[in-house]
Amino acid sequence: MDNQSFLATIIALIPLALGISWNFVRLPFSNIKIINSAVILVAGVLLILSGESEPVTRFLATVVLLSAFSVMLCLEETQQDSDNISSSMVILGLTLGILLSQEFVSKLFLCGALGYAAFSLIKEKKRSFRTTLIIIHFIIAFTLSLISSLGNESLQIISGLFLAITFIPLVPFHLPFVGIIESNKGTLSSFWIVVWLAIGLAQLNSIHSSLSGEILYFIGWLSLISAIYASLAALGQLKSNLFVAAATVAHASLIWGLINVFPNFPKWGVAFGAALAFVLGGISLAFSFVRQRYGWQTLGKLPGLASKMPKFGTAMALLVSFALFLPMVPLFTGLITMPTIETANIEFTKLFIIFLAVWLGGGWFLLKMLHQTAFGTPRNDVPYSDLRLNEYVALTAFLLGAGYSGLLY
Amino acid sequence: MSTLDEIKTNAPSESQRTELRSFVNLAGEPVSHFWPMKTFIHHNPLHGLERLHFEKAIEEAERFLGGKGFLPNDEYRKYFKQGRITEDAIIDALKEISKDASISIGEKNISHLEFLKAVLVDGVGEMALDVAPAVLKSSKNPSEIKDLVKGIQDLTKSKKRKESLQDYSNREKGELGVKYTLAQWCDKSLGTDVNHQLNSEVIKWVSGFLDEGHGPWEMPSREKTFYGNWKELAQEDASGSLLGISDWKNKIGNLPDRPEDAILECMSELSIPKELWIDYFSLHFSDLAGWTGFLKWRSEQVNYEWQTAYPIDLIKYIAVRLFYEKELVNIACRTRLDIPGTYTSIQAYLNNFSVGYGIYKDHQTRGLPEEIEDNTDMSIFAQEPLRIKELDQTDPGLISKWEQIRGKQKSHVQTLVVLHIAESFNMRAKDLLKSDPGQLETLLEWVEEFPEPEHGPVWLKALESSFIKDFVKIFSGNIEKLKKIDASKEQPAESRPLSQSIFCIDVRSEGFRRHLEEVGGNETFGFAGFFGIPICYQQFSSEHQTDQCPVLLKPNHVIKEIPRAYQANAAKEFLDGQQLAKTGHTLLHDLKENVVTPYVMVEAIGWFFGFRLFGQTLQPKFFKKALSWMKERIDIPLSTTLTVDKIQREEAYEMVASKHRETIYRLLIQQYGPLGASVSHEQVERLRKLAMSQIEVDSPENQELNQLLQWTDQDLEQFINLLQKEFDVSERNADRQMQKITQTGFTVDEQAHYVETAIRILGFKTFARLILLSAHGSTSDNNPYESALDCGACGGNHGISNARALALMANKPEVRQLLATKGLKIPEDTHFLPGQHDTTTDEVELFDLENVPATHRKDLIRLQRDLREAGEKNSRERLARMPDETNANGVYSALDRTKNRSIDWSQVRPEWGLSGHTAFIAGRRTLTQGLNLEGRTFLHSYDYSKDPEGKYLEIIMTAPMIVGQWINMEHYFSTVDTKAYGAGSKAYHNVVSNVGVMFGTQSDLCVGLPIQTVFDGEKPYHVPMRLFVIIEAPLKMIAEIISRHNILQCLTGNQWLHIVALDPETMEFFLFQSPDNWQPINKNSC
Repeated sequence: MDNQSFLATIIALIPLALGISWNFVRLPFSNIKIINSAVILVAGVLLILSGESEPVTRFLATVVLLSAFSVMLCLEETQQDSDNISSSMVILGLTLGILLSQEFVSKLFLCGALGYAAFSLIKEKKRSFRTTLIIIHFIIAFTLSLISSLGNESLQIISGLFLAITFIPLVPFHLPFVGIIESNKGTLSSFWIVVWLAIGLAQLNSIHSSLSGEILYFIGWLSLISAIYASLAALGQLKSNLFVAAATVAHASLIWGLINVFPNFPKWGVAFGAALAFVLGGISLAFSFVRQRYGWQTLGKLPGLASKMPKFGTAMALLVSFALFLPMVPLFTGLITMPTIETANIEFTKLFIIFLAVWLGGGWFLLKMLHQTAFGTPRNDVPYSDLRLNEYVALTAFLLGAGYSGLLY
Repeated sequence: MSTLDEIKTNAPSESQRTELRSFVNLAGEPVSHFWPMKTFIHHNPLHGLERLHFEKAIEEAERFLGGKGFLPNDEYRKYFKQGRITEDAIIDALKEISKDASISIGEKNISHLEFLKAVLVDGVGEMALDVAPAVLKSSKNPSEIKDLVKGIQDLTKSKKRKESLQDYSNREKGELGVKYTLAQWCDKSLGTDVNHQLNSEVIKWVSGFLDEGHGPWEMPSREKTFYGNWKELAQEDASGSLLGISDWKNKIGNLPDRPEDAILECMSELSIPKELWIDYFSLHFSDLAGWTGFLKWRSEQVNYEWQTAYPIDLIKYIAVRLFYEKELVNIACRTRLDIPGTYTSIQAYLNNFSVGYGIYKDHQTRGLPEEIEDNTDMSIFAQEPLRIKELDQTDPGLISKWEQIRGKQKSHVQTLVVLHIAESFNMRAKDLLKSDPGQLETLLEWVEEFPEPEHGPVWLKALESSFIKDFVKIFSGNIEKLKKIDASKEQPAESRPLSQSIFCIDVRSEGFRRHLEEVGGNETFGFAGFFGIPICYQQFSSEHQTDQCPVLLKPNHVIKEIPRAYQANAAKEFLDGQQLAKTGHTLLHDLKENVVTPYVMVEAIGWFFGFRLFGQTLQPKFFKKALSWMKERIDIPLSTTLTVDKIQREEAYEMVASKHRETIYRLLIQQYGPLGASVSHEQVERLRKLAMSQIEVDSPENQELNQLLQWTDQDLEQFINLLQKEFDVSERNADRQMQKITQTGFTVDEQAHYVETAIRILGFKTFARLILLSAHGSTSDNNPYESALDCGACGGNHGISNARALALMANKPEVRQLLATKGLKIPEDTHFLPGQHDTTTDEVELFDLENVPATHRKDLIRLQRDLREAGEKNSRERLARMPDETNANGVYSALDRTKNRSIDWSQVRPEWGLSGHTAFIAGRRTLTQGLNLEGRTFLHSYDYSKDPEGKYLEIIMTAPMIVGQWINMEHYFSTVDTKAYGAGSKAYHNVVSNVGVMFGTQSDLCVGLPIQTVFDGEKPYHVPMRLFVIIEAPLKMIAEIISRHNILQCLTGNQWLHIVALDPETMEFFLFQSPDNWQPINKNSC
């Protein structure tokens, strides 16, 4: 293990160790929060110092660190956040390990992440057929990630593809993602969105060049089905976290749909994925603030928030606006890198339908959600309070992250 | 109740129809009349409920109209923080409801009064069950909170009051038909869109039917009445079928011809119990209260041309509504519940599946608790029909779990409430934990007895009490002056002021009057803007007449504007010009509204409209000037006067006869040339009398005429027939003409009476050489509410016609002679001059200047100068109150700015109008002179010493004061509920049918005032209080007048306004409680 790898492992292990230790060590909540925030900042500095040469890895790690810092900023001294403060560090550690470590160590961290996700799901969710399916999915992913290091190239591609489809969720491989988002409360679900997509982007980045035409053709169709199904699911969702999960799946299908159109995935795909993670993570974070205040996560039951919580309203409107334009973002960045010759044979109609499903569907369900939350007549029997400074800063960070990833990166 | 089969086979009896009509009339009471927008009448939106106490009426109105009767408590709390509401006033207001009890919480002993004050000022802190746990979670000291929640959960009475799933159905069973129509219930409970569909259909038909020339295409068959018209046209309308109503055409075709019968049929099919009918109809009327209010008004106008031509009334209206409701409710109930859409089947359903329905409603309204959701098949809620029967079979364990969760949530809410109240007394959770549970129980009972929705009346009382106590203090200086005047037995000789001006009592006159007085030497008076003469006025060249008086009165006298005698040629040219302009306008209108021509029009002359668009938008002032310049060059200047004198019957007869003679001469000349011209006057008169059937055709005396014109008897008969039929020379026509002529104007006695009443009410002591009778009106552009800014006392019109009429009467020597015999001597050199104060621009335009004697030229010039100066000062003062006027303190022409506001078509608030008013003062000017009342008071001049019997005060209290109360209530309710009673934002208004405005393409007619009139941004500009009528007169006199009039007893007894007397003996203010009970205000302050 070279110095760079060693440093990367250390960067990952510190938050992981801290996260685990917070379950045993009794310290005041504010102290834990300060230590965690400091560790995240130090990890960021170390990331720069480590001289990580792979820009995609560096970018994704930064995305995860920024969202971790933002989430940390919003944690309050409540029972739920006391659990979340340790969980978020564990997840951060595991994710950094996946992103920054090399080969086998990375796979170990990935197994750890899958195990932790499965564990948190089992802990929260009551047993059902759906949970069983998710657990089976996790077991397969766990096994594939372990044996892929030992197997040949084709096995590595298959396992990489399976993991990528799991983490950049495509129907019907979306259940673990939806399960995780559903079972995690508060700010943690927002963090999971970013982390999940970041892992997926890293996985896809490692295999996209090896994907054959047949696989891409198959994925193209799957992404079309996924886009339509998830858009419809988002339209029918009443719970905010499930709504965000469905919206994420719908938007994620664009990444898969465009992968055989735009060849330079690290250039546009990672940026688009990161922007998507920030925007949907931001919406989830905003919802968590509402839930924390009023205990609500059912859409439509708490309308008119924009007039009572103008900061929330502004942030939500910006996030939704950004989400509505997300399908365009990869096109802008993609155009730069799109060699004409390679786009000559694209299945334009299929792409167009995916694009349309995501854009129109997104326009519909996101605006409907905005109408159900930000607009309408506010209730009189709710003691409204607008976002606090730390919450507003956290949402701003997500917005800036999305802006940078989607438009500038 | 008759069964449906009985109704269908046997037509309802006349007694059933009569009973139904009386039910419908009673049901219409909660809905107030709505006058057409062109003459906006400020009125009390709860006028129909004035027989009830103010608070009770608000409750009733909330049930029917869904409007709130008080400002949100937070607004009142802001007033409290600003000092507008004093602590003493709060305590006084609370004393009425407080009881002699106290509780010990922690170490504090809290009386019931202290408790009430704390919850009033700080609120109860109550919140929704669903959010309480989350709010509590974020509290500090979780362990103490946990203990407190536990303690409250253990309170025995709380346990008894636990919520049950059956509560939903029990509540709705009671509310069905009483608080909600079946259509409203479907929407509220089943998530359907029935009421919206029903209203859309009804608005479509009603707006088309009530159209008064606004729509380019007129609805056909309107003469068949609303019901008949709908029945005929709706059969061809596909929208019923599109709504899913099966066999649409036949169903309508089979409806009874009489709307009463149709209503009875629908009510029977809906199976609404007869005892609910009145309430049920009221609910329907209130659903579109604007449209209903308008058609209610229109149905009562027997002489209204549109009503005469196209009759509509509440019966016809509700017959159509009920048909749609019956059909749409049936579809909704069958689709969503698989039951018939009737009252009885819904009641039975709620009764039979109360638990299942409770779960469904809990899911629909608040969302089921997560624990329940996880164990419930949520697909039940998304299927049609709803599987509520399955929900009704829910495991009892789960239901008990639900009760447990909701019970816990209720404890959370109660915990938050006690914590909130404790905070008001600087106590914490631990203090509450130390308290006896019984005391906490009492505290929670007190909270339930005085919930937040009941704070409004207390706040209002406190606000009003604080206001009046503070307000009367400002008169202290002037009261001292009055005391001195009254104390000196010998009154100082009154010197003649430079001018005297009589303004309307309108609050906007207050500032102008003050400034006019300040300019120097001018005396002013306040009088109802119609100057006490109820007239029906017809402007020259107009075909329409307007009622120039409060809507409480019905004018019997017609006054017409006619050109002055020497202006005959100019008048003809004027009329020709008008005709040309009218033709041009009609042509342009037709071209615009035609299906084809607009395509060509837009290319050919579309650019022409660009001048107006850009001119009015970019340079409104310049554009207006240019327009005026052009008009001046085109318009024919015409000097007019009014027909104030009544024409005696003999004179009228002679006028008609003269016209007939002229017609006969013309016809003779036309038919016989010079021979016809040679017919003598006697023979022409004979022909006239023959046409009038005053003499027989076969009279032998006709021979001379026959010989002259070489007629046979048949020729003569033919000529007479021609005169009668073609030229209206007939007895009938003569009678009609005579009636028209004799209806015009007043006799000298009547004129003297009106002039005397005005002068005596106002308490003139001396007469200036020039007395201005200043009416008022307003100017604004692109403002459907323009008439709301005009004179309310003149029926929402400009009042200049009344001012001109009174001036003509008062200047008449015969009137003055008659007045002199009654001891009212007006000096010969006193001239009454009519004028009009434009309340938007503060300009006063003087009329009939050619009547001003040459000797008064200098007085006139001085008055004009003073009016201009007063206008500038008043404009400056008003601009400072305009939120969009910046730099209101610098050097600028205020008149220019107010003028700009009046011509700016984007200006949503050309002036504040009557907004902000607080009081109506009837008394001597000395009482208010020099005081800056900020344009918030109606000022009526009145001198009790000149009215020992109180007959003039009686006029004031029964006419202007009532108008003031209507204005006050309009503003009050438009402020407390801008949606239900107000008209929302002007920005979305859309003029409909030429009768009112609505939102977008379809909504109820907007009643009340727009938000821009009563609100300054987010905060109310108008402080909603009931009108304080301050009268300087003996208490006994006021009480006697009140006891003589039912309307006054109703308004004062039910607290729709407050009467405050300034007792001339003690010079102290007293608030009227009852004729024997006058409560002193600030006893030591004066």
